[in-house]
Amino acid sequence: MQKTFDKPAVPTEYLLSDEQVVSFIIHGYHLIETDLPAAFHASVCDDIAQLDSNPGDGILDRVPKLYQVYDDPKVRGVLTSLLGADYAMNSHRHCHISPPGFKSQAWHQDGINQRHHQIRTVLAMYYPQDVPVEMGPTVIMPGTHFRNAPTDCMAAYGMLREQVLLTVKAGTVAIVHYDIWHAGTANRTDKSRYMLKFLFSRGSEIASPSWNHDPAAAAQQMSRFTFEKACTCSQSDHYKERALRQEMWNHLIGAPSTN
Amino acid sequence: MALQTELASWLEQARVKQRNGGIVENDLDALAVIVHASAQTVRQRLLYLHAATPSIRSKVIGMALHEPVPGSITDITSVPADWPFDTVHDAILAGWQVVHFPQQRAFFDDREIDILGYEFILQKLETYDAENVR
Repeated sequence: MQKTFDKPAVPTEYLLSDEQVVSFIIHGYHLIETDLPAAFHASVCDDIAQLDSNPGDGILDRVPKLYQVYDDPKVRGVLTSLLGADYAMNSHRHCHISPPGFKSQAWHQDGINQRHHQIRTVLAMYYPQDVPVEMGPTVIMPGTHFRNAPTDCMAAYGMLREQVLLTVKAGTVAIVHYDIWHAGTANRTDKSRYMLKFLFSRGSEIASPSWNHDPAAAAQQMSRFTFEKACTCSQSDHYKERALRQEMWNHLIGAPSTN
Repeated sequence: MALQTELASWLEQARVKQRNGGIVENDLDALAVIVHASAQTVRQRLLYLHAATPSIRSKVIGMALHEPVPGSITDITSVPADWPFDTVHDAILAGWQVVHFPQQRAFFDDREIDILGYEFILQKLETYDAENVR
C-alpha cells in the first residue's frame, strides 16, 4: 500500500538543477536541510523517546507530525525531481534507534539489488537531532548504487577510505539511491540517535524530465559522467561506470532505452 | 616442544651444577622465566586490505583490522587522517604477511560492476600473555 501525495505542484524553485541531478547520478545521494524550526525536531525526538516499543511501519501513525517533514517543499522538490510529480510513499518505513553503546552495523544494501540502473526508489533518511561523528552517523559509500553486490559480499569491509559520514544538523533529510551501500556507525555518546527512514517510489514511467532541466545547461554537465569519480576503483570499473551513469541519465530524461 | 627443550636444557645444566656445589637463586629465576613464557600464546592478527586493483602496489581503498582478543571490535569510524597503508606493499614493509591474494581469473562482466576493490588478507603472528589476554 503506497501513499500518493495529492499536493499542488511543488514550486520550481525547489526542483533540482541539471548539475544537482548529475551529482545525484554520480554520487547517489543528496542532502537537504529542511526549513522546519528547531523546536519541531526536538518535539519529534521527545515523541520517539516516549514510545514504549518501536512501532516499525506504524511510526507515522504514532508520530504523525513526521508528515510535515516529507511535505517540506525542499524535500518534495528533490523527490519530484528524481521520481516524478506522482511519486508515492512506500508503506514500509522504520525508526532506527541507536542507543548509547550501539556498535556499528556492517555495510549493506537494503533488500536485494534492483538489477537496473534507474532511479525508481530512494531512501529518505530524516535526522531530528544533530548527529556529530561520535553519535553514530549513517555512513554511505558514494557511487556504490551502481554495484550489483549482495550484502554478504560486503561482510569483510571495514572502513572505506572515501566513505562519507553523514554528520548533519537536526532537520536534515538525506535522499539516497535505494541501492547505495550504507551502515549505521557506533554511538559513543550517552544519548540515543534517531533516524527515520522512509521509502519513496516512482509512480509512473518518465515522459519528460521532472526537474529544472535546461538542455544547454545539461550539455555542460555531461563530461562529468566521464571524468568525475565517486570513489577510487579500477580503471575497468570506471569505464563501465561511465556507461551506467549515462544509462541512468537517459532513463531520467525519458530517452528511449538503448539496451 | 620449545618448552620441553628449554626445560631439558635447564635440567641438564642444573645436574651439572648439582655435582659442583648446587644451583643458586639465579638458576631458579631462569626457571621462572621459562615457566612464565609457557603461559604465553601466539595468535594471529588479521588485516583485510581492499586495493583498487590486484596489484600490491595499487591504492588501498578499504581496511579492517581484527585483533585476536575476546571482545575486540572492528567498528566503522571516521577515516583517520594518517591512513596507515597506502598500498599492500606498505603493509608488507611493516611486517604483515599476505595469506590471501585476490583471484586474477575472477568472474568478469563487460557491463556490470559489483564488489569494490580486490581483497588481500594479511597476518601478523604475535605473542600474547595468556594470563592477561583471554
